[in-house]
Amino acid sequence: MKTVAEHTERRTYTLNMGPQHPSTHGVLRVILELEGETIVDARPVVGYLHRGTEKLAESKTYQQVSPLIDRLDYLACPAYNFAYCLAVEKLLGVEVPPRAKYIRVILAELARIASHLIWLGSHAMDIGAVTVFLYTFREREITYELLEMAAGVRMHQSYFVVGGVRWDLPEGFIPKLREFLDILPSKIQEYENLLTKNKIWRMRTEGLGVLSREDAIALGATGPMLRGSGVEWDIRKAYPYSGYGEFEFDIPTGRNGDVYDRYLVRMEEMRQSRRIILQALEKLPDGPIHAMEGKLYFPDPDWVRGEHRDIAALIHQFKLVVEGFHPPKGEVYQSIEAPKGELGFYIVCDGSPKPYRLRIRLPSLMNLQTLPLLSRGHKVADLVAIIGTLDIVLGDVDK
Amino acid sequence: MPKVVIDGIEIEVPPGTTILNAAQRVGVEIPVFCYHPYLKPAGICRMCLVEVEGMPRLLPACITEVQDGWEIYTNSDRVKDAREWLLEFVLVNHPLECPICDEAGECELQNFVFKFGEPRKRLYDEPFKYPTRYLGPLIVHQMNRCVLCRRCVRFSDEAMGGTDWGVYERGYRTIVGPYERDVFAQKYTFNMEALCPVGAITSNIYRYKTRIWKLDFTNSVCAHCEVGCWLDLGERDGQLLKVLHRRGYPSPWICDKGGYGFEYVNHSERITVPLRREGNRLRGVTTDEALEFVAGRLKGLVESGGKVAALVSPHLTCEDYLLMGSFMKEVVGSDYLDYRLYGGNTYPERPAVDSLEGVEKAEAYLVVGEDLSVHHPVLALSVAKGCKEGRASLYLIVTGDSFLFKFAAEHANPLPGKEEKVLEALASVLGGKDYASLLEGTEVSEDTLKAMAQGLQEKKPLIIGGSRLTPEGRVLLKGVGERLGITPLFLDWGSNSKGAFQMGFWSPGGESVEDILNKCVSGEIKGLFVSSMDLFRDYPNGTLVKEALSNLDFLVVHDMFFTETVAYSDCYLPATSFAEDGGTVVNMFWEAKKRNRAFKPKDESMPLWQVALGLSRKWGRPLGDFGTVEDVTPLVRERLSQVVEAPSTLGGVKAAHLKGDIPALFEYPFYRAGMRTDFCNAFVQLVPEPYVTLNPEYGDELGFKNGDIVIMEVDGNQFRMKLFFRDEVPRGGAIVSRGFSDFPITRALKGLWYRGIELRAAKE
Repeated sequence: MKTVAEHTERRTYTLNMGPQHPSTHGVLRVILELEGETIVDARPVVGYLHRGTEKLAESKTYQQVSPLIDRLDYLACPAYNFAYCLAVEKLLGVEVPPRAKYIRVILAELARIASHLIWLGSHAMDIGAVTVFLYTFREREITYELLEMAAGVRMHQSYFVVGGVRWDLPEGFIPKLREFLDILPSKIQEYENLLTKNKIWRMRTEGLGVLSREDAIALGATGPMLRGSGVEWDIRKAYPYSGYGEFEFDIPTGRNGDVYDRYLVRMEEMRQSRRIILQALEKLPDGPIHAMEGKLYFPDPDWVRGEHRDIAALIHQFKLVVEGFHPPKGEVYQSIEAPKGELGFYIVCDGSPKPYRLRIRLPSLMNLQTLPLLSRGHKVADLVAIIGTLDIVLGDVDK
Repeated sequence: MPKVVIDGIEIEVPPGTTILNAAQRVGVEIPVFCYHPYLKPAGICRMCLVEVEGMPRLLPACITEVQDGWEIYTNSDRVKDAREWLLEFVLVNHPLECPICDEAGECELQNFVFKFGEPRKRLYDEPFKYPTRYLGPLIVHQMNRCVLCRRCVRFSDEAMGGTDWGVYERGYRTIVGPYERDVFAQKYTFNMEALCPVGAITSNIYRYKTRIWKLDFTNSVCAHCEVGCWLDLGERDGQLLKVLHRRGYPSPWICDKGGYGFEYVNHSERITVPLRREGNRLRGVTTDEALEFVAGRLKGLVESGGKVAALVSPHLTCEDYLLMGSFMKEVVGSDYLDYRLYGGNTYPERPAVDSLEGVEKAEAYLVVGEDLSVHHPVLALSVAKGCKEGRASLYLIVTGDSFLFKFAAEHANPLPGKEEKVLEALASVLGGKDYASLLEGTEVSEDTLKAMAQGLQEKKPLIIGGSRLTPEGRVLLKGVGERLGITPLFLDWGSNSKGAFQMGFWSPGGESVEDILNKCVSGEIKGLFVSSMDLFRDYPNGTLVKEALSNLDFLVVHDMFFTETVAYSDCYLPATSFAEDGGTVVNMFWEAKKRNRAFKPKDESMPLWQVALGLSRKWGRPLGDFGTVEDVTPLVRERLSQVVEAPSTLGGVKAAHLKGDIPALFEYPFYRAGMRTDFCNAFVQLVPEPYVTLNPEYGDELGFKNGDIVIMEVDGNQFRMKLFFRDEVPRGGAIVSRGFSDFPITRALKGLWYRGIELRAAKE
């Protein structure tokens, strides 16, 4: 015979959240084990946006893989291209010319700012501060315009190619960029005015989703997730790439590892990115923007089919399109500090123009591992804030 | 043995090795244009220049022999610069045609420029423009793209014994090509196209059809002749578009039939559904219905006491012969099978050599009874190789040889029908007996024969007995061989006659095809199954075929096209080509080779083994459970390992009827020999209609001119044809072309390939 107490023993209620849900930032499914409103366990189910990027890459030449990489984190496309191109260049043993290096840094940091802007907007909106969303998108629109000026496309630019960048920055780009950077601090201040000392904001984010130092390192969290917990780790400082060693910038870290700290970290990161871009603009030299002209990326179209047509250029164009370049046999791993965390590409090359294996270390997927730990004990309503603070993009989770 | 260091790797090589070969041994790559592994190195292009420590100039690796102690650098700055500048010069006049050039994708110039050149050249000037020459339906020559590597010219000189393809003019006006001809189709032109590193010589059949990387290549074996060259069939969307010959064995070269003779596979006139006769029409039916109908009728015939025979082409696979043979022998209970539809009454014999390499090693050759360059072209190249290099002497007893006579030490050109007489005379000479009387009427001089006999006794020859030899001729040749201590190598018609023989597809009683056809006429054989061959085209007795087919109660034809034979049939079953089914074939050296299929059979087409299987199932006594051709292969393999004894065929073939003024040999032109070549559009363009050839002096004597239209009369049949003068025809004889399915030349023949003909000028 069961006692009354045993009859009414605690049982959990399973609730499915997603994959279609306005607050999951994409097609994320979370299976919640609830006790009333308290979360006992939150198990993310991923794969709803899996498109087989790694497998597709095996049947494309190294240059053709770039558009696939764009679509991983579609909110910060330049950064992902950056990592991939650096990886292939490491495999080839090729140094890109200085101008290309700095252009890449500028656009990658611009992508970081853009990514953090949309993070801020959607995170705040999920918690309830809808206004912030509209404000950040106003700034993000300017970044779209800048990227369109440089690459011709607002999203999925594939502007970086193995060996450099596709084409040089257009004339109006730098003035417009400077304009943007001039207004950016005041805009960031605007967002801070709305949120940082806001009592409701603080009540909803402080002490929530606390990730300890040990847990962060153990679970492989990177980026602001890691730095919010007080670990001073940024790949731009630890393993500098593409000239980052020449720039002066700080790495903001948090103390408590809660949602509020990570919010502050990301706000400060935007300011630091601006600092880096300004330094890069100072240092930007003139010069070529491709390494190994014609061997890695198409030669000037004027030489191929324009007035100054040349058989040698035509042959190079033909071979690059039809076959692609042959990197030497080997394996390489190259990671960068993407806006969301450490993004790494592991490429195995067998000497053919197509990668034998492309393995992508995705920041969002790794950060998502912390979700069950962070959400245990909190209420359902807080789950939205926690998902927001992870800053996940499902393209980045599922590849 | 000299020791050298190449790029830091030390290696010891035999003396006389070139730097290029030494580098190949260690795996170091040196780019080459004019070098080809199967041609003599020339040192023309200078792409292979390498740096050797201590030498003031860069050395060409393909012709420089290594010396002891050399340090060779294949990638130093000087070498890199040299390659860059050389490519720049080569590109000066090169047209910007990559997007429309067929070679793109396998173009060596493209590959080298991409690897070693710069994306921009420095000279801007009008290029010197040459016209494009369409040299007939096989190749197109675009001199603009030529890099003057001379591979084509060297091939023409070394392997083909010199044609009029050469290098003319000089300086910037240098032009490569044929001097006089407008049509260049010299039996081995495919190799020239394959050798050309750029798109200067391209195939007209493949032109603009597809890109090389879009083709799926399957390994297979050529179906035209017994040499059985390995082919890679390039298929796209179920169409066979290109054929590559990538292996260096059995021979690095292949003939035009192998390289261009596959257009019939995708011919628009191909009929791929079964047909059944209803009155005067052939109506399309399903495969099931057709097989049911055939099995039913055959069963009816057998039960009422009639006999059934099967005549199949010697170009099919062993699996086809095995299952069809089993069906005929075990299910139908018939003893009348044969594959020798080209005529003749000899069975295959074990070879005296086991490979083309063995052939090339011989110090002398005696070739009797076949123009090798028509029916076994690659064998002819191998024979010519030694002779060209002066290592071997060639003795020919062949009527109308068109290729090997250039290399022959002694060439006997007997009148048509007298080859075996001359052979008898040779045997007599070797036996020390009188031979002059035997030579009467053969147009071969005593001196020639004496010199031949002498030469044969000096060096041990390889004796090649061609496919024209009768059983008696083979015995004679064996006798000659015995005297010299040699077993001859005998050649057969078709590409898998050895396989057919080994699978037992022949009448145990030793009946020849002629016997079988006679039995059809007499009514003893009431039903006939014919596969993959037009009897009217190839069997050398058109009248007998017509009588036989008209007298049959039931005729089933398994073929790809609507030939004359199909017109007599009661049922037509669609056949597959060699590209649509795999299987085993046995080549002239009794080597079994595996074919693979490039694409699925079109619509309802079936290979012969599947037809046999289907018929046996409908008959009620299925042969077994075979899904694909690979299921049948183990049985084939078992049979191949057994020893099969051939019955004696002496006295089987009647002597040639030679009444009529001019003895004539009826022989296939090269582009009409082989399997289904009258459905290869390019070949039909080259040889569109039959013709007669006479020796020029003899033709003058008779009062004709080259190019006249003449009437050839045989047995009251009149054939209107063109007359050409050719040097290789013996004086006093004629050579008539055969192998045209739309011209009834075989009506002039009566079982053998010689006939006496009468020629007179046609009145306009």
